[in-house]
Amino acid sequence: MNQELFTNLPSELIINILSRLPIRTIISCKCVCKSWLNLLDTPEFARSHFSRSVPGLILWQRQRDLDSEHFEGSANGLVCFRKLGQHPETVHICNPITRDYIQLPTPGTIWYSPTTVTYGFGASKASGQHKVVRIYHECIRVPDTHELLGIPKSECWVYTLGTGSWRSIAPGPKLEYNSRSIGAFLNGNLHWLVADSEGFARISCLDLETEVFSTFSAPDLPEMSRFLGGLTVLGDCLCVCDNASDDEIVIWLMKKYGVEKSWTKEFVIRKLPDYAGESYEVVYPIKIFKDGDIMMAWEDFHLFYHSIKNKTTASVDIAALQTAERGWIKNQDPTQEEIRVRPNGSPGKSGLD
Amino acid sequence: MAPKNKNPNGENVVPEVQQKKTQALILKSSDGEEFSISKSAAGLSVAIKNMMEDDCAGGVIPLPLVDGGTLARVITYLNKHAEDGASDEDKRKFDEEFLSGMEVDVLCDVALAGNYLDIRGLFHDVCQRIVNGMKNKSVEWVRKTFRIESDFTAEEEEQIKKEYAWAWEGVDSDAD
Repeated sequence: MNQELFTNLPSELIINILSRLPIRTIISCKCVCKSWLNLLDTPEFARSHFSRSVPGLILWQRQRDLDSEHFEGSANGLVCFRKLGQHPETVHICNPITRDYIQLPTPGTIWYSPTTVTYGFGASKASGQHKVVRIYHECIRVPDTHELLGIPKSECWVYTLGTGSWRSIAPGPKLEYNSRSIGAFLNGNLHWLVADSEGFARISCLDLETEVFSTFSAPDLPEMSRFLGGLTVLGDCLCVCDNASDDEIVIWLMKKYGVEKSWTKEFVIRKLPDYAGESYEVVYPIKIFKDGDIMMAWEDFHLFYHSIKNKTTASVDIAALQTAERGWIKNQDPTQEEIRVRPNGSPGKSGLD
Repeated sequence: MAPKNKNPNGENVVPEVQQKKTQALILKSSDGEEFSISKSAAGLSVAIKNMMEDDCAGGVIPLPLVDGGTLARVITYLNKHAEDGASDEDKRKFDEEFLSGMEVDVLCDVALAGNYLDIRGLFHDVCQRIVNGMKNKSVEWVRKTFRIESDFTAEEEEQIKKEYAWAWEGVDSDAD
């Protein structure tokens, strides 16, 4: 009767049991013995824990210096940040739930402002590999009007987590990427809203498994020069949100993934009086709730909640949410916390090794 | 001897209650104990149901991975959940009492049996019970409860604790 209780249990059963624990207890279990430590660091454990997690939202506070970190996307609970300014292209992947992070090695050439690169972060569908994508299209423009004259040079680099180095891949068609845009990760693919050589909006899509680019239609938007918005994922749909109008925010959804005709002007939301008029900020829909209500971010500054039923929009008090140290919303307990990383973190370091 | 019943024609019949009882199986534990269980209760275990359908058992199903004590508990659970007229509320209450009296080692045995016999509700509840007891407990408590001896050196353990220092804020210091 004095033998270890868990020795009889097969490892998948122990994983099943321990992956139900809150993150703090999981971490203290790493100290119990070596076999538990090994088990808790396996990808199987991370997957099992992740599958029990509820999606959440992460807020972070950007430091007001030149080296601030910018959000570049999240996948499976891991978040990608990139530095701008003095040390551009310093990329971190972190797991905010376990507070583990890694810094990627520097890619071959670093481009300083105003030359810009566009990033994306996601995981391949079949093999589940996490990849950071870095796209560079050198654009020649008319100095005054910024009109695009040509794209003489294109590059695309991929960093697969765990490999330790960047690889060059075929950069796909020559398109005009916006450095402010973040790759929208859906269905194992990354997507960017781009302009073709004629200035029309298109969606550039990279399959993270095959690493092949394709292009498909964007919704029927005004000219790109008059368009103010970005591409995100809302629910299970690609979403384009246009904030160029003085008094309305227009949200388009691609109702059936990959079906170009399924782009639908889903919501038109009246702006709050304080936000009406000419604006230069991009609006990102973040989450659509079961009742159809939407949470949106106004650039990096404000959070809004729009009720579809009442047709009302209210500001969310971010200051009241910022109770945590260094701007991290407290998220130690993935089973209880309401505000968390989207989608939720997996506790194993495995995803980061 | 079962009482002999005759129908109006004077033929022998098996009473209805007894007929239901004949709809039974024998489950045999790893230590050779035999338990009778109704087919409807046994069918709540996906694994036993498959064995019944394959008819490989011939009325006696050997369960070499489940000891008698554990099997008795599992059968109690299955009987309650197969009981006619037991409401969901009754079952919930029963589950709560059924599990609350079990020590961790018993819970582990029942979890193993629940997994092996593929009784999803039981397995889920037992795992959750084990986990609820572990929340916010110290490393020492976990080792003691699960009778695990640490194979870390003091330095190794210190290293992990240092790496995740934040995780130890608010953990019960009391080893019990």
